[in-house]
Amino acid sequence: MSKIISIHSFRGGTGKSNSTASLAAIVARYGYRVGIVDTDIQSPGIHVLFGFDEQKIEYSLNDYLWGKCRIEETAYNVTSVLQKTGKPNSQIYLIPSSINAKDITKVLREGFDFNLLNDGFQELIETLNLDYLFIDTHPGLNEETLLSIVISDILVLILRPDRQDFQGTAVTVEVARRLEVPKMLLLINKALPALDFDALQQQVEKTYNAPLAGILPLAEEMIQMASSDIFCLRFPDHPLSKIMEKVAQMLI
Amino acid sequence: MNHPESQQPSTPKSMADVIDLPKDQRQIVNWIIRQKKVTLAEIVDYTKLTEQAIQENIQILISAGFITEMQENGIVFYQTCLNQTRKSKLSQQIWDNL
Repeated sequence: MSKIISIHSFRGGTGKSNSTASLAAIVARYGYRVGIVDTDIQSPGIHVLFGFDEQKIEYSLNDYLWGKCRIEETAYNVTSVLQKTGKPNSQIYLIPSSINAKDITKVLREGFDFNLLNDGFQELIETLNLDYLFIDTHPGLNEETLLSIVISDILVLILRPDRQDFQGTAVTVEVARRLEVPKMLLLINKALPALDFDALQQQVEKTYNAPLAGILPLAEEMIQMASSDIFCLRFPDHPLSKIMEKVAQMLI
Repeated sequence: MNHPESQQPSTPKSMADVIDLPKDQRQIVNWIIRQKKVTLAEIVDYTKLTEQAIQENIQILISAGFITEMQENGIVFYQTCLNQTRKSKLSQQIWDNL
């Protein structure tokens, strides 16, 4: 049975794309077939982490939403990022959004058919025989993110230890509950290592009445990497990667 | 009737409107979105509500413009009919300059 996993945050800059890429890579490494859809059509970027040359994107998610191609034509096999760490069945497919300015403004101007997006997710799962479909969402709440949340089997909400994030996450948690997401996990990112992680965990779980999957420390290596690679693959022994590994196991 | 907009669909309904539905109706719409199209029996099986309660809620949801009824090979299905696009309200002049 395939699972749809949405990675979401109320505010931008929480590390959604980095976390999505790492979690998807770890899950794939276990021998699963994984798809990643960049539904952040207004500000796409996850393709950068996979070293994707945007000039080589023949079709993007935008083209599918405008009826120019089938959804499977927008899927690019990026399994090579695993190098030799994967299993024989491991596969990762990336469905990027266009980084072309005209394409982005066209989406803002004309919108797109939300039902088509939902249909596309199902088609991807069937045609690529996916075990997991990760959805990298646009931050905040809008029609697309609500759709992504409602169709998800698991929702991972990322927040930083920041009062604005805490407040916004409360809103998102409430919405996710009203949309009856079967499983919701919170993930704190960019936590200063000096913080008391146990106290933070207790505070967050009590506030939201939802499980905290992990607390990812702010890592200098992540900043230095500057989205040039997938963190957990580059630094598999880093404490952050170890926590991400545990989070990925909660998704499987 | 526990929904004020149960008589006539005024404007196309969106995902944001689903959030404000009463619990039972919201549960039905959420389920239909996930399944794409469902029969009455499937809704009964999933929600554990009585068939009568579901039929009442379905009529409210149809009247309010959240779902629609369709037939395929003599079988009645329900599917959502939410507003499918969100177009910009920004002036055309700004778009023309982009």
